[in-house]
Order: sequence, then structure tokens, then C-alpha cells
Amino acid sequence: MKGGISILIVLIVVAAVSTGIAAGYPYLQAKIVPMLVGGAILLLSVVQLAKELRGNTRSESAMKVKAEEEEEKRVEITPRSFVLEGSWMVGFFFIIYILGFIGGIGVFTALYAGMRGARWSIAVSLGLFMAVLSYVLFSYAADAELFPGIILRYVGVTG
Amino acid sequence: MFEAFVQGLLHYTHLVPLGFLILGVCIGIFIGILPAIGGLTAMALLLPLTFGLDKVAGLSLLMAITAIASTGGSITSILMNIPGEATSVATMIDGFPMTQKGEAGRALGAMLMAASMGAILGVLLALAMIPAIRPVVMSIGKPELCLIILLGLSFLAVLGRESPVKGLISGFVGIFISLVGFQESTGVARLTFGSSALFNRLDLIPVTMGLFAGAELLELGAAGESIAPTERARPGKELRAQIHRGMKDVFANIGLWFRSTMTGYITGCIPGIGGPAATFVAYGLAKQSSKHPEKFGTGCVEGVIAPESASNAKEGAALLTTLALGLPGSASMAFIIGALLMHGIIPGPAMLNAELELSFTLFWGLAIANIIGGILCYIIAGYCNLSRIVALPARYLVPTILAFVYLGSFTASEHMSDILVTLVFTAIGVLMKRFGYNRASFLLGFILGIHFEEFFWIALQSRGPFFFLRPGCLVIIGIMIVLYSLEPTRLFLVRRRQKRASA
Repeated sequence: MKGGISILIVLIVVAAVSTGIAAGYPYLQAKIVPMLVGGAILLLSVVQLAKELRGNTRSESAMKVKAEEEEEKRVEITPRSFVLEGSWMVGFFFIIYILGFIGGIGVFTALYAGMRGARWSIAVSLGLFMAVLSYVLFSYAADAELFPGIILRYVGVTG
Repeated sequence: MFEAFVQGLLHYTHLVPLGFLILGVCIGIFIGILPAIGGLTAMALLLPLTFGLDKVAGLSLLMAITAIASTGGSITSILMNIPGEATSVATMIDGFPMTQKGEAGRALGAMLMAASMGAILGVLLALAMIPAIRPVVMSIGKPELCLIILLGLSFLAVLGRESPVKGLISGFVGIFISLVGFQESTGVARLTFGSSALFNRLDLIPVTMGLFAGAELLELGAAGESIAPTERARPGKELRAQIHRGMKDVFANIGLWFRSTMTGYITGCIPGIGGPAATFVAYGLAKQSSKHPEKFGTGCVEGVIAPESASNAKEGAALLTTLALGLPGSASMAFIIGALLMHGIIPGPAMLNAELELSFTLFWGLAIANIIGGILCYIIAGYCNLSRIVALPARYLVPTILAFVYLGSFTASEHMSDILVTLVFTAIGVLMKRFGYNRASFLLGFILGIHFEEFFWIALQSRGPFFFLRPGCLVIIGIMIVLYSLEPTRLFLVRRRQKRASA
């Protein structure tokens, strides 16, 4: 519940600042809807915060009980696992940034599967398959200009 | 008129139009299954090709993609929690939990049957309504459109599993985020904080990818399991039995299917609202009228039937407004207008006189594409056993799906910053899920936020600050009041019954 209150406080601050910024726009057309919507977020967040502080949520309803049951299930996933998984996702972005989409997808798929317990022969094959599939579907069939990565860009390949 | 009606159907007894219709269905399914590429991308790529084709063949190709891409997209929504199309988002709410419970086949069966039947009824209704459509649609003005968006958000907020206040907060935050960026009419860059990445507004695909697919992949990878381990040993025969059970579920819930189809059809008649709103309104109504609303969101077959019926039924209505009024009833219909103009045909009231036969051909094309698409999707789902995908361990699923998520996010506008947007919304999606905020409500707000602003401003300019006092608006406001009083009334009645029982 503490996390929920923290999120609401962040939301209240962000909504207040954003509504304040919107109020400074030069035209009514530009500011009226952001101000109204920002004001509504602010008001509703305060109401929800008051409810959470009073502990007055709809826990009596069966719907909420279900949600809480699911919440309990999710608690089994530790914050450390979330951070680790998030790091993989961010890392994938950087691999693509360096090696480009085709190379990055191949390398990431092989590394992820291999380091998570798959046999390296399978992991590497999957990586190769994904690289080829991405090329065929996106570069070749859809004619999309995929990011080539900073290394290839440095040597003059544009995508 | 009857002659044109029959002639329209007879076009599909010829090999060329039928061949292009089937080609369109195949492309539509393939594109729909691939996350994030979407039917609109396929239509954009194929639009120039239709110029060189006979008008019936070219329009059939585009019509088939329109008809079937959302059905293909629903397959990935159910199996992987990745919406192939925006209209598939509502299907995810119950479809994916069904997959997690080991009922992927049942969800697919219900989806296919509801979607195909909904589409056919939608087309039949559109054909029947041709003479009556114009006055009905023309009576809906911007003030009503503005309030219809708020009604859609209210449905999600009140009927969601989360608290209504959190549901509304999610919806309004979605609207607010959709406003970030350059406003063309005033030239004001709003809430961009000097970032060029935010200048062009956030694209729908990276946001959807992060909010739903990214968040699910993060949880899946962190848990280290497959999406549904129970699918591992499911033989093809058992899967097909599940699909058949799902199909029978549609007939067991025929009243719900009919109501949802009508909801989709009526929403589809309103230009500019589009498919996602139709699916969410149908989902909300299904939950409201259900005997067990608490099961919605946990893997309930009614939660699949309702949005799928509405999603495909709305295309018939959208085609009707497109042809009768020249107003695109959905984004894909804008491409149909483009193709018609390329062939020198101007859609609008005159089209229903001058090109009545072609109009009927397009309606028939929509219906036939849905039938062929339904059969093909059944074969793909039942015999290619796509549901086995969800039994794969996370170590194989996460990197392969994540690759498509990043590719889809990037190809939306070919900016690497869109992948960062996906990552940000992945974090937001996980937080929303864990703290009970409504992601579907957020997405609806995000999709319709810009339209809301446009309708609100036009209504304010043309009707003044009391624009909501129009009769149509008052009806919508009345529905909202009833909606918000439902839960307090229910709780009041339950408490009174408990008091009486204890007394």
C-alpha cells in the first residue's frame, strides 16, 4: 500500500506541475483541455490518496479480492528479478544501438537464451534464426530501413 | 436495387476478384499475427498497387485486409498478450488470462466464431440500413462525440476490476499524455520539455508495446516460466476440442453476442470513434450485464466474445458511413476512400446511386473475407497449433517476442527513441499492473485523447460553454449517471439485504 501512496503523491506533483505549465500557454485552444484534464487527474488523485490513507478501498467487493489474490501471486517475483529482467531489456536496446537490429537481435537472443539455461547450440541457432527472420520480414519484405548500428554507421552503412 | 445486390455477389464467382480477396485475407492474417505491423501498414504498402488493378479486384484486396487483420491480431492478443491491432486490446483482457489458465484453444474458438458471425451480421445490418443511415449519422455532432469518448472511459473505469477512481485517473492520464507534443492549429509545443523526441507526439505503437507486451515480458522473464505451462502436453486433437468448445460458447451466449454485435455496429456508424472504443464499450456492457462480473479480467469467455463480435461488426457499419457519407468510419476506411478516389469514384451520398453495384460488391467482399478468414484462422490455430508457442520456456519466448516488440516500435516511425518510449511505458505498465491502475482505460484515453480535444474545442466554439445541454448530450450524461450509480446502489442493496438477514 505504501508504494501505492508514493505513486499517488508523484502523480499529484506531476499533474500540478503539468497543469501549471499548461496554464502558461499563449492560446486558450492550447491550454483548455490540458488544464481541464490535468485538473481532473489532480482532483481524482487527491480523492484516491485520501481513500488509501483511510484504508477505504473496495476490499469488500469480490472483484478486489480477486485482484489482491493476483497481487499475492505477483509478490513471488522478487524486486531483484524485476531489476535483472529490466536490465536485460535496457541492455538489448544498447546492443541494437551498437550492432544494429539484425546483428543485435541475433546476439541478444543467443545470449539471453544461453545464459538462462538453454544449450548454447540451441541458443546460437535461435539467434541466427531470429536475425534471418527479422531481415526477411522487415528489411526484405516490408522494405523497412532498420537501424544499422553505430559501428556500421561509422564505416558508412546507412541502413 | 435487388439486381445490384445480386450482381455485387456474382463478382466473387469470378476468379480474379475472388483471388485478390483471398490474397488480401492471407496478407491480413499474416500481418495481423505479426505484432505491431498492423493492417494499416499493409494497406499503405498495397494502396499504390490497387491503382493498376481492376477496381473490384483492387478494392477487394484492401477490403479483405480491413476485414481480417483484427482477427489475426486477436490471435497474438490471446496467446501472447501482444495486440496485433488496436482493436485487439480489449480481447487481451480476458483472452490472455484464459491462455494462462490453459484455455488458449477455447479462447481462440470463441474469438473466431464471435468475430466471423459478428462481421456477417454487421454487413447484413449495413445492407438493410442503407436507406436510413444518413439522417441518423448527421444528427451526431461534435458535442455528442466528445461525451461519447468520456462515456467509453467511464465504462472502463466503473466496470474495471480496479477502483473506479483509479480507472478514471488512468483514462485521464492517457488523454493527458496524448496531448504531449506540437499542436498544429496553434503552433504550441506542449509539455515537450525541449525534447525533440516528444515534439511529434508519442506514437501509439511504442506506447502499446511497452504498456502491454513489454510489461508482460518483464514479468514473464522475471518469473522465469512459460506463459502457460499446461499447454505443453496438449495434443492437437485436444486443442481442436477446446476450439470447438469455444465456438459452442458463442451459441451458449448468443444474447451477449447479439448485444455486442449491435454495440459494435452502432459505434461503427459514428465516424471518428473507431474500433477500440467499440470493443471497449461492448466489453463494458458485457461485464455490466453478466451474472458474474467478478470473473471478467480473470479469463472469462464472455470477455472474449463481446469485444470480438463488436470489433468485426463495426466494419460493416464503418463501410456504410464511408460509402454513404464519404466520412471514414475507421482508420482503415480512409484507405478505402483513397482507393476509390484513385479509381475516380467519389464516395458520398451520390455513390449509393451511381455506384450501387460496386457498393454492394464491397459489402459482399467484407462478408466473404470474414468467412474465408475465419476458416483459415481455424486451420492455423487448430492444426498449426499456435497455442504451443505459449508453452515455450521464457528463455526462448522473451528474446524472440522482445525482438518483435522493438522492431515494431522502431518501424512505426523509424526512430531509435521509440524503443526508449517502449521501455518507459514498460516500466509504467508494470507499475500500473502492480498498483491496480487500469491499462486499458489508459490506452483508450491515449488513443482518443486528440479526438477528444478536437471535438471539445469545436463544440465549445460552435455551441458555447453549455454545449452539453443538447438533447443527445443529455442522454449520454444520463447514461453516465446511471453507470456511476450502479456500484453504490449495488453495495447499498447488498448491505440492506445483509441487515435484514441478520435482523
